[in-house]
Amino acid sequence: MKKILFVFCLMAFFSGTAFAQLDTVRSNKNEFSIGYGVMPSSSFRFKPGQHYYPLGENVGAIYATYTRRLNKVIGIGATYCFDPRVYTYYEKPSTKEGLICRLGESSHTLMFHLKINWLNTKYVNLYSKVGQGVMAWGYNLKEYQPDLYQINMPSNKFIDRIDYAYQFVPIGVEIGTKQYAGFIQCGLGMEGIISIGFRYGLKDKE
Amino acid sequence: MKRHLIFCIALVAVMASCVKEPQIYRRLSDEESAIVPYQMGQTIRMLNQDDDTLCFTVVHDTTYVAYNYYDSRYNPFGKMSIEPRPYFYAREVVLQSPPENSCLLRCIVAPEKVVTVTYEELRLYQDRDFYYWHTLLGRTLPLNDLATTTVTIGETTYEDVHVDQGSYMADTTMVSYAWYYSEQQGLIAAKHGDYSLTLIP
Repeated sequence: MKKILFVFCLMAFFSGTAFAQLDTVRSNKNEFSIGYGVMPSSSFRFKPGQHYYPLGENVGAIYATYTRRLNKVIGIGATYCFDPRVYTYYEKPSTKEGLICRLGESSHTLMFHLKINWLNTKYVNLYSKVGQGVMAWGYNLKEYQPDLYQINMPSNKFIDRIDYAYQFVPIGVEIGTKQYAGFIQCGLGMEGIISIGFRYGLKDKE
Repeated sequence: MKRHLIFCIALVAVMASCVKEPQIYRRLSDEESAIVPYQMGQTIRMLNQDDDTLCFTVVHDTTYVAYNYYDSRYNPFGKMSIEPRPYFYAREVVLQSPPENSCLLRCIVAPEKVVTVTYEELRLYQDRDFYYWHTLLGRTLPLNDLATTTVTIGETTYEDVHVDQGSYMADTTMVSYAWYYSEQQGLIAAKHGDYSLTLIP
């Protein structure tokens, strides 16, 4: 009961803070941002029953977003995310003996998001963000020896390579001016656990 | 209940976008498969440690995907580590004796010419009404690592025979073993402790 009360108070506090921002310095109506995130959820490895994992090279997720601010607190927009990955399968992964194949995978994500700026000051903004969308992934095999190995990919049909995509950012910080700002955010989803980037706000018409 | 349901839905949602793993199987080439030279219906005769003649007939010949393929080795700290390897195709040939002998010879060949041979006997499980195959002799022979030589067993000389022999301490007694396997003839002879099998040409 105490917990629920605490969460309720917290929400009330933030909503109050958020609405208090309506008349402060923020913000541009149209925002563009680009970012880079490490460990996006599209590169998480999980498969029950799969005992054999490759050596992976995750570049991380690169993404671009557009946000249209409805007011100084609430904004909606779209995000495009690209996450390339390279996996190398060896017969003996610890000694890198017996190359089986190199598997290049990449995923393209399109999400719609809701962004809430719950603290707007002249140089620092705090925000939360939640996004939902779809992801399409593809792959290509290189240095593969079909006479030695049989490789069954999870799917050969495009429709089976479309999945649910999401992004949840409990907290993000923007530091900069009204027009230019750098940001860092942490969360879970296609933009990565921790990501950094740059935000550009279009000048509003007077 | 509701909390668990929400947690499960969240977990499924998080996992939905994970990497999709391909399934990798090591193929068994025709050359590797032919390392076990027995064909369906073929009969071979062998002499056991009691000088009894056993007739084995191939009753089962199948190729399947084997899942428990691990490579164990010792790391610099002296501890054994087990490294998973890809799944692989294996061919299993079972040669069974007539019911009065109640024994069988099982040969499994895996990629890279790894042959496992077992000689099994049907036994009653602890006086219960339950029978099981008890292994009397058994060894995995990595043929690529075993040198070939010419051997004479009885009055017959065999060429290009892989030999695996040695001895080890079991409790307080020394146990010696010797396995002779030919890629053309199959198992030539096997001796392990008190049990032995010798091919009758």
